[in-house]
Parts: sequence; structure tokens; C-alpha cells
Amino acid sequence: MKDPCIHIENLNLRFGLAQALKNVSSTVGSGEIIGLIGRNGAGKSSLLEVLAGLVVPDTGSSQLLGHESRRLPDSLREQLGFVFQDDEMFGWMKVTDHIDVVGAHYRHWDRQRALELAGRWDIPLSQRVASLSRGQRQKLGILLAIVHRPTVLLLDEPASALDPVSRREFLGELVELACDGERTMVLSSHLLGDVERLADRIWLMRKGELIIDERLDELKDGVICLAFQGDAARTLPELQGIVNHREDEWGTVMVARHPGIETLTALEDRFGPQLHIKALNLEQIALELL
Amino acid sequence: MYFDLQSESSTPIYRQIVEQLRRQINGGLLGPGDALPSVRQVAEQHTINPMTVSRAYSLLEAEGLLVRRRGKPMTVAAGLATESSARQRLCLLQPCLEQVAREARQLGLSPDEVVTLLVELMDKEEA
Repeated sequence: MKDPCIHIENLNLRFGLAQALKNVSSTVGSGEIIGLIGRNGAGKSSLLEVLAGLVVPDTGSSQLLGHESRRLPDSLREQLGFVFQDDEMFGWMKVTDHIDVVGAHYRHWDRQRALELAGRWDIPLSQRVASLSRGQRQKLGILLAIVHRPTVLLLDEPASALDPVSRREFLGELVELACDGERTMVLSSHLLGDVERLADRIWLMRKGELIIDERLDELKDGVICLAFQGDAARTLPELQGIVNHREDEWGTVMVARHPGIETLTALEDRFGPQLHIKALNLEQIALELL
Repeated sequence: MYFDLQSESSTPIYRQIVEQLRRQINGGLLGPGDALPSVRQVAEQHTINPMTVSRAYSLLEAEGLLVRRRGKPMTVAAGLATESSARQRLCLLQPCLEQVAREARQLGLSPDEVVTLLVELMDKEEA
């Protein structure tokens, strides 16, 4: 791994009775793109807020680019970009003024590019922020987060209100940013097709825990669905790594993690046409594991 | 250069690129010295992570199918037995034929019926 860009260790965070984060640890190298997935309330937003230094964890530490998230020097803050769900924008300001107010905080702000993007994304520059549609407002939030070409981008469901065309354009901007291989991103999204396009690594959270932290292609290769027709599965020997198991009139469906090629071949030989082995895409994996 | 990439497939995208390039090189569609589009071009055209593309290219480079030269586009290696044997090329087709075989069986079709349709489809491709 190149220099670690994000380093989190044993993060715990509690809101009243709810454990938002539970022993979350990981290290991300520069240039990696993380897809953060999980059900509502799994802790994705909390994790991103801790990473950004907006929320202090009860225990544990969070570092960005070698500094504690809570105490980033200004020179590093300039290299960050965020899109959060509760965007804090000034509703009474005109869009152009808002762009300039945010831009004033960055040395590498590219005003030309901001205006060009706003034009391309149909964000009306002379309107007040409060009068924008939800999608336009989200696009403005994205624009404000990427125009200074940040080194670290934290995106919390950035495209949830965007139409398919705008979403693809937004993804295109992220790809363009990623092309120099030096920008680190954490993208939380329920749009798993988008995550598959962009992420090289997946963080999967469940009830505050980071239950999967793995390269996307290894995850895809490692989760296998085994469907045994009829009562064939009854004679099945004990299998390693079964994460899900259900039976219905058709037969038995099992989902295994890293069952191993020898096991699969042995099963194929033994059960023949009564066994269907299937690889899964990210959406299907999420449905099985979440 | 044409890639048909499905982001929501169970096959990782880098492997889709690898398989498609391997088919085109083995089938002679891409010949020695032919240049490939840059990582950036493929990533931007398909809106996918550039690392995915470069991983696919590197894999084929390690296999000796592609050659990387500083500051120039990746090219198909020279001196490859480009027209690999029919048997090797058939191997590349096997995964999708296995699926056809499975589905034909589910539909209760005979091998002859399937082959007739396959011949028709290939004639159409040729035309």
C-alpha cells in the first residue's frame, strides 16, 4: 500500500442506546476508491462524519493524511471535499454568490470550472439556493465539493436525488478526478451499480460494524450461491463459510464465502445437474449479507 | 476498440475487459502492433474506475499479450501466434456455450435445433 491516506482504529460511537459505530478499524491507501454500503442506520453517515472530524468518536482514532481528523491544519483542509446529507448551504444566497463564498476558502479554487459545471448541470446561477429543486441543490453540493480537485473526497449518498443522466455525468467527473491515481474517495451509496463502476474496495456495514472490508473483485469472486434442487442438500456434508441458508419447495439455497475451488468441484461432481452454482453481483451480495 | 461492459454483472469489470481483449487478440480481430485506447479513454468512455482498466491491461501485459512502451499507447505484442488454434479459440467460447446448453436443456430443445439456430445466427453475423 502507498502512504495511508485514511487510518481509523477502534472507532466506537454511541447515540443514546444506539451504537452507531462498533470497533471500526481500517486503513486506506492513497488512490483507493471505497464503496461504503449498508442498510439505513448501519452507521455509514456516522463513519463519514467521524472521518471528516465533524463528530468526535467515544473511543478510537481517525486520521486523514497523517493528521487527526479533528485537528486538520488548514493546508490539509483545502485538500478535502465533502458531500453530506445535511448540506449546510445558505438558502438566501444566490448560487453564484454561494460558489464565490465557498471558493474564497480555497487557494486552488477554479471559478471558471465551477461556472462551466453549473452550466453543464443546469444549476441556475442567478437563482437563490433556497429555490433550487432537490436535485439541483444536490448537484450544487457536489460541485462545491469537487471544483478544487480535492485529494480526499468523502461522499455521503451524493447522487440520491439525481436523474440517471446527471448521475452519470457526476460519476464521469469522479472518474476524471480518479485518473491520476492519487485521489482517495469514500462513496456511500445505495445505487450499487454506481458503486460497482467506481469502487475498487467495499466497506460493508451492518449495525455499526464494518463486516466486510475487501476488494470488490475479490468480494464478487468470493461470494457463491449454491442452489440444490429437491432434497439433494440433505446428504450434504458440513460446508465452510456458509453465510445464508434457506429452504423452499424448490430446494435449498446456500450462500457461501470463499468456499474454495476444491470444494466447489467436489460438490459439482457429486450433485451434477441437481446443483446450480452461481456468482453474484454486488446488489445480490448486499441482499444476502445485509 | 469495442468493449461491452456490464457493471451489474457478477463478473468483475476488469475480467470482462481481459476476456474481451483476449478473444479479440486470439481471434485475430486485433493484430500485432495494434494500439489500444489509453486507460483514461476507456475509463471515461465507460464511466469506470481507471484502476480497473489498468489492472486488466497489466494482467494481459504479464501474460505477454500486450506490450507497454513509455509514453506510447499499449499495443498488441508482436510475434504472437495470433491465429491460435481453433481448439484454443473454442475454449474461450466454452463458458457462454455452457450457458446455452443449460438453457436449451431447460427449454427441452434438441442439440440439432440449437445448432441450426446457431448456424443461422453466425451466417447473419458474417453477412
